[in-house]
Amino acid sequence: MREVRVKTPNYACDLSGICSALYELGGLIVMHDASGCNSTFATHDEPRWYDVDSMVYISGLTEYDAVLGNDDAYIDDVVEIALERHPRFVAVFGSPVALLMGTDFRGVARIIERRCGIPTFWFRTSGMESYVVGASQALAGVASRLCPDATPDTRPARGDRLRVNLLGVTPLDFSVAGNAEALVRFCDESGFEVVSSWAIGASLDELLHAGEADVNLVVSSLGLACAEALAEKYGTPHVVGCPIGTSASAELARLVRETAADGRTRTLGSGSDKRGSGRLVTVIGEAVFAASLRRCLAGDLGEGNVRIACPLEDPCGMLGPDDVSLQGEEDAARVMRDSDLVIADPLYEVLLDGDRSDGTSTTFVRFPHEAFSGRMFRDEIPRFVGCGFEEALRRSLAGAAR
Amino acid sequence: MRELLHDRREPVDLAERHIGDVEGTSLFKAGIEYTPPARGTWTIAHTPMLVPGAHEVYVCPGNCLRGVVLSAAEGGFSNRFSTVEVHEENLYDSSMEDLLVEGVTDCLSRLDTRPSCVFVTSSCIHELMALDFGHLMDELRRRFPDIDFVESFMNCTMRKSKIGYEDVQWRQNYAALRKVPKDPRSVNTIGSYFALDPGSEVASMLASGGYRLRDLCRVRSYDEYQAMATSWLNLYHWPVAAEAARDLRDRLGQESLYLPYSWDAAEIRSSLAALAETCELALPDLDDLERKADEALSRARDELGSAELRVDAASTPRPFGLARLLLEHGFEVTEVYSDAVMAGDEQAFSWVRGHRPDLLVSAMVDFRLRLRDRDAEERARARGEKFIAVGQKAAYFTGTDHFVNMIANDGLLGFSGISRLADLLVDASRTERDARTVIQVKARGIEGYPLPLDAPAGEEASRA
Repeated sequence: MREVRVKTPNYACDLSGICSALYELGGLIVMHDASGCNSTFATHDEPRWYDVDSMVYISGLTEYDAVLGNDDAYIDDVVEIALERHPRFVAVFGSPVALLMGTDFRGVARIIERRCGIPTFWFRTSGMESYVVGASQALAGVASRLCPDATPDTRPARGDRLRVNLLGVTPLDFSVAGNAEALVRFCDESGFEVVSSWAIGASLDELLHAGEADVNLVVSSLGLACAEALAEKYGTPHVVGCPIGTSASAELARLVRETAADGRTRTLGSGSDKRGSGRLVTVIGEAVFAASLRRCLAGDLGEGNVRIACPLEDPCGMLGPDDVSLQGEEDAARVMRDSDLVIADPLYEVLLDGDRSDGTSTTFVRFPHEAFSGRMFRDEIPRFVGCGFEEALRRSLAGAAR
Repeated sequence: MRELLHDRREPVDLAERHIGDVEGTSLFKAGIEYTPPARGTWTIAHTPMLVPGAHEVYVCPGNCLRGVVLSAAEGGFSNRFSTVEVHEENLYDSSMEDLLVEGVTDCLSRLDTRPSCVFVTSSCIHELMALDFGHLMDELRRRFPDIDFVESFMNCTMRKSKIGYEDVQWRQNYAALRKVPKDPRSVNTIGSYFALDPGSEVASMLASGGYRLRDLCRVRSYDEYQAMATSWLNLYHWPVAAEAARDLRDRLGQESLYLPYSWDAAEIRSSLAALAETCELALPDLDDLERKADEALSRARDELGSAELRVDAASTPRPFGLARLLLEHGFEVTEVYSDAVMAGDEQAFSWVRGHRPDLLVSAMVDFRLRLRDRDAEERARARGEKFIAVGQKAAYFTGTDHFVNMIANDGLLGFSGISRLADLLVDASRTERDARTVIQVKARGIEGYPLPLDAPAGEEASRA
């Protein structure tokens, strides 16, 4: 059964995705839940929790309120805090229990906004979708609700440097290993000016200037819905891909320039139309990351036969016909056993038990992913963004092969 | 009693108040909550791990699952942990029962070894959907007659209900025990995350009376676990275990005796007398034991001097009782972190309110805690003063690395427990621990279980 796991965890869920995306923006974020959902986020999905204060809370839902469908306390409490702390915005959404209660978050948000005069978002969550779904909603929500409408002056005349927004940057995919900073550096080295980074290391005020950008760079699946919202609002085209290694970085920079010139949306490709021969390398992970790493493997290290195995949604359409959308743990084990080399979070390694039928074994390269193993291997997460990462990757591959 | 050396500090926000201003025992309004990153307390994922040979299967939505399955991975017990993920369609298409039964069946078919006992854990939504859990368990028992299935509940929504989910989990931890003839020389201590110190008065009295004391924290096999059913008496030490004691009395006919984690000498004497009477044991020299505890506290007070102490309610179920003990022995307790006055702590609370009305009480989960400065240690140091926290949350909120890393009393009981606490205070005063690293580890001590029979209480702490 695809629902069953006996060896591996599941990925971070929608609630964590929302909280992660909105964490640094000065909002009041209140999950309608008793306790556990916030604990999961704060303990396993949020590396900033200890050091960076953010108003992410739970409502403390009780059995009686759940049974009676009473959301009044939730509304009153949120309004009380909002009036006391004056957040930039309020975000309300719920746990599986709130879903079962049928809490009308649209109505809740409307009441809160009316009572405290602060922009209030609501999101449709269940605690059963992935963080990609949650963070996508959150970033798109900020773009559509808070970013100002376009005016003739929104986008100033282009200067020497192209202006870009980085969309889909959260610790769930980039951790706190310096990758967010490396994205900004990549832009700088490519001659681009970063208007805003959604949403690590940027204030809400910076995000509100997103309309000034010439191109949006979608660096993870989490950023696509936001890109679409910004396209609708400002007509900004986007490019999908993450600058992992020299080849992908150079190609992305070229795509951004082309897109700025013709306004057509583009996606980082693998570098060739067909998978080549040679050893079969499987990359397990978020789709944009995996596709960008494939570009690095192919373009920088000469691996011609790289397959993506994606256990998450692929809104950007990164998966090709030979790639795999993983359906559970057994599927992942099968795909891994078929591979000569697997690059994945360390918690996947346990699925490689024993040699393959031909007597050979699969080589495993550890590449921790915060959205999967949480804080367990945070110290191992590399700075994978930017030119030059291929050397570290080459060493990892060689080390694992030994 | 000495006067407070420090200036009276005023509350910084509505989640902090002088205890003298509190009417009744209602401290703070319940509402929107923050979760501080002090994780040493045990969760529902951890508690069943005390049963040797048990396997946990969680049947929950992904967000709940992720917290527990990563707890298992971090705690090194992933091989005793499986999950069945609930999806939204299961709420609507009548498939929830099938998902649970077939999911658990699939889990068990994939395991390399057959567990003796399986805790099948459902979540809040199952409760609200009124799932017929008994029927589903019967079906699993029919399919796997050699396995003891135990219903388990990750039901956070029940936290503030009549029987809290932690209470229920402790009850279920002993639910697989089968009724057997009683051994008149066998006694259990139940419902604690930490082993009872063999050097405690309770353990010593029972040993000298020829009793075998069975403690889940020291049980090493499923047969040893089942042998707990032979005991005629269950000792328990905090209210969370009362429901387990009741269930064991009703199901197995085991009597129970409440020997609370108390910091009050008179109550400790009363408890030991009750134990002596119940088990027909000789009482030790209580005056001597109390004198030794007082001496240990005196040594600690001399070591700590005017150091400011703050106590949290996660470190002990009776934080006001501990505050009273320390205040009566000349320590400078200035603040207690507690969201409520817990059962059994009411008298101590009243005493502190009457004698130290300017002592501050702070909430632990109020939303304002997220935004408060956590620099008490830094300010104390700037004044040339020492600062010590009792408990992980107090350590976090004050920003100190000088703290007693105690969770739920750490198994400290009686006068020996007070002596041990005094030693821990001295240690905290002398030793800096990296609070940031230490307190973020979940379920302090679990990696050390099961403890050797003769290991002292606190052994797991040193291993952690």
